[in-house]
Amino acid sequence: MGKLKIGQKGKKSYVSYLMIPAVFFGVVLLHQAGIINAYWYQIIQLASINAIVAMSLNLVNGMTGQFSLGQAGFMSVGAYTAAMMTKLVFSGYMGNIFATYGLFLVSLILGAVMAAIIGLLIGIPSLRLKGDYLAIITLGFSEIIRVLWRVFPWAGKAKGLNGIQNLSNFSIIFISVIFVMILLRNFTNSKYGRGCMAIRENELAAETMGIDTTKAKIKSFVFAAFIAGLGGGLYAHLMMFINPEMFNQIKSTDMLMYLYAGGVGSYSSALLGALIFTFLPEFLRFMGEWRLVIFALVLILIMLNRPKGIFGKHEFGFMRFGQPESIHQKADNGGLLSGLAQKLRQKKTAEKA
Amino acid sequence: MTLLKAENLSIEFGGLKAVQNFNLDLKERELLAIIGPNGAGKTTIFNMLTGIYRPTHGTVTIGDTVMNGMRSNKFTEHGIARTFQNIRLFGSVSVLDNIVIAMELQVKYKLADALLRTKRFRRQEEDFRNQAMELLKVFHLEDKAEYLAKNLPYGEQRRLEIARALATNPKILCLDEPAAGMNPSEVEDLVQLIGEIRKRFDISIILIEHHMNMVMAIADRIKVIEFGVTIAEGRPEEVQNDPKVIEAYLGKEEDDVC
Repeated sequence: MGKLKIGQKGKKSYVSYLMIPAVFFGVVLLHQAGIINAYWYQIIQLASINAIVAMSLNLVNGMTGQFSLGQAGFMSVGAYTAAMMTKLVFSGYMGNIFATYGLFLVSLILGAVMAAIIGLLIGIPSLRLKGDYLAIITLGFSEIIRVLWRVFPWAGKAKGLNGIQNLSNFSIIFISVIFVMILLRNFTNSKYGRGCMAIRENELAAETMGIDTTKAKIKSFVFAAFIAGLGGGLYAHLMMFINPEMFNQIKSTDMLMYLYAGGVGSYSSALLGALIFTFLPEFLRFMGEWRLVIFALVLILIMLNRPKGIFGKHEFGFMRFGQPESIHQKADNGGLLSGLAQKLRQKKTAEKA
Repeated sequence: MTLLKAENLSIEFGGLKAVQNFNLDLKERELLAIIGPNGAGKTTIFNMLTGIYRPTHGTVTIGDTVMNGMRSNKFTEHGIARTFQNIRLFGSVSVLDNIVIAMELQVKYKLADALLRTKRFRRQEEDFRNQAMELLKVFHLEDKAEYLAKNLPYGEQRRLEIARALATNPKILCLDEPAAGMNPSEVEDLVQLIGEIRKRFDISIILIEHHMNMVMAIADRIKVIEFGVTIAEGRPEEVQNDPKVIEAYLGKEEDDVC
């Protein structure tokens, strides 16, 4: 039997693979040169952490078609666990640079694992419900987690934890973003991701194709909690202090906003959405109080014009292993940018005629 | 040998007895048709046979396994696959991926293989894609492998649904009104396709259908349902002349009409 080549009519493109070192060294060099000041450097790092959590949310909301409203809860589990590890457990062993970052890595992973365990405990009862009900129950659980941090004395109660070492830096956060993208890409491009998409498209049909839909949903939920927990650990070691209010409902809705404004159903769009909408309020700072009004207006305009977000379902080539997108997929992406490009093309052909 | 057995299947929705005492005995390579007027309970029977509804009474047995209480993915695991009366494809997913999704049960790699993209993972995935392409060829959909399922024309969506059901590697295929909304020439094509499926795959088929010509032409055996009760059963020519069947379909002859 001859080998069937599918989806390879176009040439593979590795441009986005080259973008990874280009962006990294670009930001580092601009920072060294003083063009990106310390304040913006911090914002870039914060935006990248937001991107990690927004991408994790895309796995649940975008790929599996479930509506989770409590991603900040998992973030807080990761943040508190990792912070307590570096602050209380490992602090005495952090002699040289290798021990410090090695133990930081261990703490981050422990935080993520703890978030995944909490995700499993929440997911098992919650994922029997659908749509609005699931949204409400995840919201409820994330509030419970937040209130628990206010109660536990060893978590600093309402004051939270301070004096956390500043261990997150741009390199570590950047590597984490790439690592998370690879994890999510490999998960999504396997039977696990296909199962999620089948559930999103038609749960009953997915089940009659032999997919254990409950298990598949729990897997995606737990995996997303793991990644959000990783983001939380990085966040704690960037801000150097955490308190329960940092992980309230507003944080969860921010993550939703990044995802839906960027383009739900695509990790790349979630990433770009998180970057843009973390930067935008900072850019608008010169307007004072008006910036929030303008910011909200921009959001409303995007959602009215393009319900699929700015970038739609488009994925970076990196997320597609360099495979070209089929024309059918392209036509379905439907972001603001691809809509504009289409209009331009139509104008050009109209002018020619 | 009996592949699928249903004994005294009954289901009630509130006070409505949708299906009562339905019995079925499906043999290997047989094509059994279930016919009956609208609302007779045909699709409800399918839903019980594929684990979507749990019957109030009675048992479903596939091979040697009593399936009571199991979820429909387990029914698929035991070799029963189905299509739906109202098409339920994975719309925003490519035609090829619709098929590959249905190969879920053949997957042998684990989560770690997928995350690390091991050789085992890549070999199996490649294998699935090739198998899926072969299957699409049988259904003349190979040129449309990259289309999104929702963009296919109606007739092709119906074909894709059958192909997807076959991708689960079933022993029994349940077709729920596959010819609904088709014109006569499309129905003709469908009859040929079902013939082709029977030739290529070692499979038994249960068919729900309204097109009488089609059912009479291809069924080995017919069961007639009315108001949830089996009123006749037999070879096509037997059923065709059964007065009860004629009554169910055409209404009762009034003696005093002159």
